[in-house]
Amino acid sequence: MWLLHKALYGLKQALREWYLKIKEKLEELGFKRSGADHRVFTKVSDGKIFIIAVYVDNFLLFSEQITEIEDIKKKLGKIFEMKDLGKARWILQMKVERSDIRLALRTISMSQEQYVEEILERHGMANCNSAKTPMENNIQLPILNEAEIDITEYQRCIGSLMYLMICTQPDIAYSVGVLSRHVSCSGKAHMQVVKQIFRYL
Amino acid sequence: MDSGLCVFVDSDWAGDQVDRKSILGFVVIFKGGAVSWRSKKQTSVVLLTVEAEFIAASMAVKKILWHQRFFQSLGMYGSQGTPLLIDNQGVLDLIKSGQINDRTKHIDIRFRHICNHEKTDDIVGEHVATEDQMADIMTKSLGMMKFGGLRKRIGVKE
Repeated sequence: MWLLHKALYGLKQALREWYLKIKEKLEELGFKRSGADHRVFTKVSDGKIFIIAVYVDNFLLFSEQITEIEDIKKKLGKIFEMKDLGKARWILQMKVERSDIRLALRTISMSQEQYVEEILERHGMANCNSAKTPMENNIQLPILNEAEIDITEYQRCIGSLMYLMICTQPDIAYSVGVLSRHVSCSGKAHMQVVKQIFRYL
Repeated sequence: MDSGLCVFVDSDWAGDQVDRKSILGFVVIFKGGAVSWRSKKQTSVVLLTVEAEFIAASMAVKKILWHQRFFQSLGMYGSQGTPLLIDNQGVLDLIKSGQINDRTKHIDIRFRHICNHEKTDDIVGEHVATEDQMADIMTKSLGMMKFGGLRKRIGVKE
């Protein structure tokens, strides 16, 4: 039997150790953990707020001033071995796009176009006709006692759609909710609606 | 309504044709875009539309309280009450008065926390016209026109 003094990659405790490490280092730099979400750290200086969002070992930095971001990056770089990916363009398969900086009302939008294309491809719907809404009005889905179709495939479809729904597409939330009630006993009618959602995407 | 935080709450009473449970939905809007949403079949069968909406509001309030704390920690939100937008006057009256009568006394006490948060001004119940109810998209399947309109208003681009 061996006693470990450090956390190893892949161990159950490793994630927590890593988190505690980040927390300690960020707090040393003057950051405060948000009480509402422990993945978010903030620091206020000169009335301006600096935000760091942590996802495992990915950091998103937000500030009103680019110089501050550079400064924090340098400090973090001394503590951790880091790769700077510049402006955030991708996070968790979501694409981050900024509107034209010349516009008066500037926005940031997020999309999962590539992910959508991937799942359409995976389920053989890449060249389907598009639909205007994710679900027809007043559709009645039967409750089955036995599955008529391959439920693994059905569950996979629902899983992909659910990730999409949680990240960027509130518009399919209702239809995905209806379909996910039938994951254990699904039939052709249910698959038909899944296909309609795919066509809508 | 484009600035700050608000939440739209709706429910489709007895929306499930088979077991007659209601579907609840809410959309949390921050600075003109949806930041959080939910569409869920309720766990119990309820007798009144007011009751269904009340349960929906209860879930939305729980969510909104978290969002308040979160945005406050980011310095993006003050301590003002958050508008809770409902298209059912009966629920608003119930939340504001907190009074139980013969028709509503069977509503479980666990939903009564809303009344408390209204009293302490954490939330402010407000009426919204049914056609402006953005949470509609979470509770039923809609026609093309209405769906497209609401989708745009919650900030989803094509």
